[in-house]
Amino acid sequence: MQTTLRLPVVYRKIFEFQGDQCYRQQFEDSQQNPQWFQIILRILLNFSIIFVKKYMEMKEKVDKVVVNVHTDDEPLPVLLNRNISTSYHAFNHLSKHVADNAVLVDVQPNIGGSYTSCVNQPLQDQATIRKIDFDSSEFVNLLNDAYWRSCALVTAAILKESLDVNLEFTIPNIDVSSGFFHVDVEGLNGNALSRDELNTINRYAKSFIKNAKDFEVVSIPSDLSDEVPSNYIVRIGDHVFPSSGLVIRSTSQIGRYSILHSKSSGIETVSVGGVSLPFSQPTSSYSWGLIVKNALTKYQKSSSS
Amino acid sequence: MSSATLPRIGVTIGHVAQKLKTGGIEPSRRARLEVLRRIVTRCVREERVELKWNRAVEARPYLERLIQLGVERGPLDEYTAEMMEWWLPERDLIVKMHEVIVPRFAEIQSPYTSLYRLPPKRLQQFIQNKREFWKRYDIGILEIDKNPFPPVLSENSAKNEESPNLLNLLLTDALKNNLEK
Amino acid sequence: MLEKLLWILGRRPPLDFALATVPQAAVARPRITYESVKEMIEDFSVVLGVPKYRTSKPKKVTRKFSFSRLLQPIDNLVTCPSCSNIHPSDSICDKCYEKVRSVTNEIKKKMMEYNPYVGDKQDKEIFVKFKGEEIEKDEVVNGKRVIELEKRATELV
Repeated sequence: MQTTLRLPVVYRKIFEFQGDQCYRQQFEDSQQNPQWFQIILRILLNFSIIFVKKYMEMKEKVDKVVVNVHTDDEPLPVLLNRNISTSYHAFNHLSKHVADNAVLVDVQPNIGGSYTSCVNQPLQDQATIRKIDFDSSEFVNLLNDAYWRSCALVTAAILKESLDVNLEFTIPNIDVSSGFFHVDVEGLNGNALSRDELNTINRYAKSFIKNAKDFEVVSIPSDLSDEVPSNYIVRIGDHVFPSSGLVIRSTSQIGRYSILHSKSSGIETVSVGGVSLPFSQPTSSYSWGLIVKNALTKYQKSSSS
Repeated sequence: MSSATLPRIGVTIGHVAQKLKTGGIEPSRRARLEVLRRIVTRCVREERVELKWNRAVEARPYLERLIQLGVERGPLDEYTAEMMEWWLPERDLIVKMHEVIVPRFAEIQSPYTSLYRLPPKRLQQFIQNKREFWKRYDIGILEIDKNPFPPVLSENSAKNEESPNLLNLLLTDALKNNLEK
Repeated sequence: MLEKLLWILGRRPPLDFALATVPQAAVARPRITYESVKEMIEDFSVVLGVPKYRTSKPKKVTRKFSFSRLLQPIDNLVTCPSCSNIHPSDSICDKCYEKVRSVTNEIKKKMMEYNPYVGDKQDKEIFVKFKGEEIEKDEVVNGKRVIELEKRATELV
């Protein structure tokens, strides 16, 4: 009953800028679906580009905004489309190398306090943006958290693609110091994955990461925050996940990556753990072996408790 | 020898005397000194030079002793003046030695020079009949300390080891747990 | 039949009687004392290992210049902590030094801009000022020759 009451609010907020009857009808139907929220998210992100195009057609004139890109010399002013262009587009004016290396963005708006955002997140207001990459010492903890969260999301996407699209995931907040990340999977009937299955998935994971899929991010407006549990919605390839925090730019920034182990953590849920390192932090296979071994023992210990 | 009273120089002396060869002079003691003099002169002029490793090792004690003479005896000493004149044939370098380099080390103990080794590098020597000739070189960096150049070994490397980036976090944890076993 | 079988199976000579002859002739015993070393060597030359055949050229060449002689494993490689470049443990990292070298050469170029033949001398310490840097303390530069670089410190390093 509550869902039917809440739906119109979400519906209005998301679709008020376009009056397409087709989508309207779709959402009238989704009112009956108990998992209406998932479907909204899926449609919102899978069709976000269509939305933007329709929006542009409708309005014809796109709102422009000037954003300053921080460089070692003078800041570079860049003309962007408000709410459409991302920091990635802005950095591309500087160089492709800079844009590809950017992991997060430090945004200093002309009005209000500074904050950190994802690279593939549309810019809203006049601001000065600064690239944060894996070399910057200032935001190390923020970077580590974002990277760990992204790896968990990538794991979820890989499992979804290699096992079953209808799996449900919860991504717990894990500290980097625990040495591993893990995702909880619902829909496997509590069957943990075997060694062989994990090997096959790992092999697939390599090609998935190599494809350099972007993390497309939409932040949930604050007036919707009581409707939506998470702060961000992230799209990786064909999959959409809610995310509690920032994520990296692309899977191409993931270097060594390995799904280690899986165990049943409840009646229905299976937990899958892994470990990863950024592409820009290369290491020898010996060191990586140590890290993997440590993560595996730690993860197995944590599963017993 | 009037240099007998000087303190020991703080650098290692090569075990085997290198037969340093140079074009135009038969390989002899004279040729060897000529090569060493050229290196010392160049080193005083440029303050940081890249040389073949064996030449750098061989020339370093001579450079060290020359600076030490300046520091210990000063420009008015007869023997120092003679040595300076021989090792630095260009007059402006003698001035540089006494007015710039020696005052740097007035309060400091030897060594006054540093020597670093680079990994061996293959470099092309010449092309003859479309055939490329390559040779492997051991390269040393000889420098006079307190020079205006950026340090060869940056403090950055030490700082990087302590940085709490992901690789460091995971690896230190792994090593710690590995040791505990 | 049995013999043949044994022969095939055991590879032994057939079981049979045979005459064993013992040479009765007196064997010339080797002399125990020699008058000179040369004499001894001559007597023993049959016993010493002497090549029976000439060693062929390919064998010699392989012995001298086979891959195990020409290529030797480097077992002192370490990873640079700041750039992960691999280099021998007794040397500094060449990747990191490349950056230092570029800055050094920039400074050297400026440092060498003097003519000793008209009486110019390097008679002052050198202070390097990168582009965009402000000289804060006057004492630092006092009495020093200032070299201004066109590039910033971050660009070079």
